[in-house]
Amino acid sequence: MPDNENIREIMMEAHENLSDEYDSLIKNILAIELSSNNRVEGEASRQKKIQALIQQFSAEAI
Amino acid sequence: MQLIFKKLEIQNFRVYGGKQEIIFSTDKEKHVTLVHAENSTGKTTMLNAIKWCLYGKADEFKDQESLVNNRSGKTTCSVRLNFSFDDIDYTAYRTYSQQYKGDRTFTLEKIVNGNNTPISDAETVINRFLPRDLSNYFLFAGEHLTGRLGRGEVNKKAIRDILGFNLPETALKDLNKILKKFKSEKNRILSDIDELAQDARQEKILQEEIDEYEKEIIKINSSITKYEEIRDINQKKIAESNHDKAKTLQEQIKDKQKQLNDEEVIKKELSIKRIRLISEYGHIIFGKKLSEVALDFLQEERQRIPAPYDQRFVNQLLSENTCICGRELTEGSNEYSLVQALVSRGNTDTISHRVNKARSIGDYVTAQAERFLEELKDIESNLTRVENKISTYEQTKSRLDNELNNIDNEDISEFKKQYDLADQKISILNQKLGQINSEKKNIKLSLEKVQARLRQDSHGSSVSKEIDKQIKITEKCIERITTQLHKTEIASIRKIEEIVQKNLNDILRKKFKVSLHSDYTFEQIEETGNVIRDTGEGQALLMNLSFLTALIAHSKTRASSSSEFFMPGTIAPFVIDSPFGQMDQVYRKGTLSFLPKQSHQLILFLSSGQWDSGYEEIIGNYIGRRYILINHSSTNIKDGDIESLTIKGKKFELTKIDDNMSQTTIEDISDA
Repeated sequence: MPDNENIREIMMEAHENLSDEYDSLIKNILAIELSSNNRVEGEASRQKKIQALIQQFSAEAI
Repeated sequence: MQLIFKKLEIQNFRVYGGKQEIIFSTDKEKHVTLVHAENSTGKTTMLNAIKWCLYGKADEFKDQESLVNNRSGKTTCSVRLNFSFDDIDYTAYRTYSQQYKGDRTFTLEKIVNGNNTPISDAETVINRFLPRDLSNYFLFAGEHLTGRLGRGEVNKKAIRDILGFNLPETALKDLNKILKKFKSEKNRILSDIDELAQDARQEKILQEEIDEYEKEIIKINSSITKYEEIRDINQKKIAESNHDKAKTLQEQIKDKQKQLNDEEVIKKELSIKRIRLISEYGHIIFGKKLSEVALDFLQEERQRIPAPYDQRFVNQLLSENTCICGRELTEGSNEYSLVQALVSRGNTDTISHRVNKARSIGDYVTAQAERFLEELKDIESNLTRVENKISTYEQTKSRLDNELNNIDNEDISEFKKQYDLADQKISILNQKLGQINSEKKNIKLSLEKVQARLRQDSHGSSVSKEIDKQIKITEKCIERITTQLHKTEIASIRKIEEIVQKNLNDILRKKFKVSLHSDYTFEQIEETGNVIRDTGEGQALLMNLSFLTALIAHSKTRASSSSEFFMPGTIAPFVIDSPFGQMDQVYRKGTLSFLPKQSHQLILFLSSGQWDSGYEEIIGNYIGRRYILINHSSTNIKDGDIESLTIKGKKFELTKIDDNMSQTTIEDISDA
């Protein structure tokens, strides 16, 4: 059974895995989810925003 | 996402008469509120009052009529719960009126600097603070917690929500839907690309056909050149022969042919000129007809349009009081009125301007049309002249040909025969060439159309590539979030397992290993490896309480660490009615030991039978506020039947005889 330190390491590792180019994209997607959750926003409007975010990321990607 | 209960106000609600209130401890160290009471005096009602206030429902309150205290003489009851969520204060208030059946009101207000602001869509917002499904994990009666937790999708979802997994889970759902959209768009474009492929095939076929025609044209041109050589050779042979008449005739035929060719060129030029003239100015002919009608009208109606009387001229006559005929125009006289009447029909500047403009356009159209007709006439006359010349030259040439054919000389006849044959072939080949060129022109037009479509569709092809990129990005995000979620969930499960194990190690007499599965069900495994199937109600309750507190404790730890990946889990106060159930003394002590340590606010409803003065040592330091529920009874109770509770050596009566009331009141004994 992993101890507290191991658990922290696993969590940190999982978080650090997002530190490349997709890092900010996923964080932005989750930020949309969070702000939508706070404002009880509709699913369609939320998905539209995420889709636009992915399209922008794709257009900027080399 | 931390919820803290601050105060509960109950008015004429079930067993509670009048207005009763309880302030919950919010002290960080002493965060436990204890409510002592005898059975059936309002412990469970208080728990359910909180649920009813938040959600309008509570399992025990199926009959809404019975919500109002029937001894209070009132027809309306209410519950108000003051709480904070993420350090912002709110007050939730729900009422029920017996008088107006079903008339319930619910309001939620935000409190900022002492000012209350109503929140619209209060029910939705409450469910965001603490979803109703989740509330059963925080607000519950111990007796209901003896079954197995973690079974079924609803429970699993609730547990994952407490852990704050709903944010990435919703993101995954959204991303999967977006991925579906991208793929469907891609399919649509692929079907367009199918058409593109068809066009590409068509382009190839048409291009091959044009290539074939061009090969044929080269072949025909080569044949024409060959026959022209034969014709020229034979012509030359005649010209170089010793036969003077044939030579002369040949020269004359050659001249005529040259003249014929020159006139054919002129005829062709004139025909092109005529087509161009008609296409550019032909329409003016229709305009001419209309203009002529309009101009004729203007001309014929000259007496009225424009009016015969110029407005300014008539006004001048009136101002000078003298008619054009020299007669005096006295104001008010019959003559004056007649002349004045002309003004209304007089020609104004605007009318003059419009009429002049119409005339000018009409004149222009007529002039253009006349010029066109003149030019056309000129071309037609030239064409007639050229055609006449061609006809004359052809006749002359035909006559000369006949004369040459009739010369009685074998060589000359043979030369002429070869010449004619070649000329005939050239004529046939030229006809064929014209036909092939015309077909080639049509195919070229089709090819140009297909090529235009292909240029347009190449844009579709680049869009398809862009969508491919978007699909890859979305899939990558899904993969990453799924991996992240899985890793974190596994780590969370191990951590919860560890906390439960620690809780139970301190309490249970027999050592065993707790194993928490990925579906959040857990098992107890003996040292021998045997799975314990039947633990008894007391141990099951202990296990479940331990699991729930471990879940909340872990969620609390994670909420404090800032993570952009997970939403902070939902943490609400534990409000537990009769937490001990069938537990023995050891389990009760153990439970009282871990419960306060692993929750941020704990509200316990305990019957006097579930309390022991020895528990004070375990939980005493965590208790911030303490209450007793007093049962007021109007019936005679013998002194020996009066229930009491001793806390820290002080005796509190839980039953009181009261002639005027038969209900429950709350008494604050925090200072005891």
